[in-house]
Amino acid sequence: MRWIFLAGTFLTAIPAIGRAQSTADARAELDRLLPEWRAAREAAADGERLRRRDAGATLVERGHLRVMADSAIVGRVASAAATASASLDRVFGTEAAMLTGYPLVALLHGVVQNGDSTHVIRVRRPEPLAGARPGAGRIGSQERVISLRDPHAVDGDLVRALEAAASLPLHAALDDDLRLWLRSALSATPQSQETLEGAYVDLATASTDISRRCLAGDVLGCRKALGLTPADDPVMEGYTAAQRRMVVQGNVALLRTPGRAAEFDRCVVDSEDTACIARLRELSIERLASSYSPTVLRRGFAHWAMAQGGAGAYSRLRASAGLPIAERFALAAGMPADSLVARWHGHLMTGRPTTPSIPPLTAVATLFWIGACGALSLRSSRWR
Amino acid sequence: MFRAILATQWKWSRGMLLASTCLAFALPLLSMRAADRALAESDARLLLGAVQSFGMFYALCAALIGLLVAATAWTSDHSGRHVYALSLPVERWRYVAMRFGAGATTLGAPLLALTLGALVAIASVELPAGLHAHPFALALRFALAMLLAYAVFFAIASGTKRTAGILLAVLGAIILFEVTGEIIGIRASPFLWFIERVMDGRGLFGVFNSRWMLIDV
Repeated sequence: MRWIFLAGTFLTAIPAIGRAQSTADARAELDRLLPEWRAAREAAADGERLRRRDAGATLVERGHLRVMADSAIVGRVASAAATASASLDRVFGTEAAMLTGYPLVALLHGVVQNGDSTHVIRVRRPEPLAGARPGAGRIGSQERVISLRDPHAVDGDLVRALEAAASLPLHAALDDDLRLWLRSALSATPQSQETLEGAYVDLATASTDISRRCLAGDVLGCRKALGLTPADDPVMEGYTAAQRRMVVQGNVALLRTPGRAAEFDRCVVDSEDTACIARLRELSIERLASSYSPTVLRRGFAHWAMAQGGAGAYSRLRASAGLPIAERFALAAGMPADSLVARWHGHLMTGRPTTPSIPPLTAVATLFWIGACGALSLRSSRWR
Repeated sequence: MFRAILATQWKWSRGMLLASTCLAFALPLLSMRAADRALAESDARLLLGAVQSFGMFYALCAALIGLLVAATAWTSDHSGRHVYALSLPVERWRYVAMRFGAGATTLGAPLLALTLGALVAIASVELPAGLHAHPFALALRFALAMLLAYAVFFAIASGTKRTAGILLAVLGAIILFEVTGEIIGIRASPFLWFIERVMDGRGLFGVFNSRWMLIDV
């Protein structure tokens, strides 16, 4: 009975195998769907136009920044756009002029969070992208969502969202070397003390040969930590033994190949460092660098270097394509590369968090509560 | 008279204080032992993680010592039905203040032990580059936390059974409302609100709610 069933299944499957779709058939099938896809896209665009008309969308122009905002939030967006435009001009100088061709949209949406209705502002590039320049890198939409729950934080969040969204086309217009070095768009938002502290803590706790040398003020160590000079041996200089084991463990799909499974297991299971080193040699330099040369450090350096260079720093940085990255930042900042790195190191050291003592407010509050409890005790009755 | 009260306080609590002092001295040493792998590998990130996860034991130890010392300060009065205090030729508030002061003074022993333990623990290890030891900051936090726990429990213990009952009843009612409210769909969370206020930086137990770090960047 079972044989009859299997034979029947096989005979039924044979014509289907014969009819298997070829690549050309698949392409033809996809081409057939193209008009429907275009119609759907047009319908979505029509819907968005209607929504904007209903919402009374207004174009806000502040400096080089163009934002299409829903009428209900025009005032708030205009105020944020003025601040963001000033930041963009300060960081990107005349290059910010290109932003006039890349408007943003700020939409007010009602959402339901944990059963409660609330509103959010969505800031993004319009879809489809308008005026994408040929040759430029891909400009992602990267929507930012600002919750209106905390009224005190909305304006600051909105400014940061506009600054971040506006920087995307500027990033896409960069040459490949600089764009890859920055990894993601450099926002116009000034570096806060918290960010500087974060960068310091990252460096202080990395415990790698590179980070220790940079922390001690060695310029070459800092150049390697910033990715301005390639590390001689990234696997050894950029990782501790424990970090090597963790990186190998985190890249199972890539590093536990059939021929090298035993070596992978010796690294992960037996903590054998030589096996970890051998496994890591198969990762690309850029993948290795993402750990010992973190993006937060590179961004902080880029912001600081451009602030040193003053007006036109970003234009000089862009115009010097073809030179090594360190030289480009030196040109932008108007000082030799080693001096720039040494002075940046001094700036980074100011980010060291203060001693982890009790915050003054907490200390005062604690003394108050001790006093209050003591006073309550004094009022206790001797009669029971 | 304060010396007499201090002497009796010491007599009642010396066994417990000895144990607390040993515990306070051992805590920093144990925290270094918990982080021995990170120290051996000189890995700052691992070390900070180990030190931070050990931090809650300092808070628990401070709360426990404060509670025990406060309890022993009133044990004799409670068992004697407060007749001894009535027989003394001093006002009630002066008597309570001396009891409070005597108990608080005995807290100096575990505090000193913790400071010494922290200094010994730091001297016995080599810290990775970029990290620093903060024994005195930790001792200050420990002192405040211990004194606060002591003051709170001292105030509760100095009250009548009725006062303690009312406090417990209010707390129980809040928890009951929290549980039943969730079942019948009331969107209010008074217990969580209460905990947030109490553990806030300005709240009653705010000093407990932060990083107890012997070693930090």
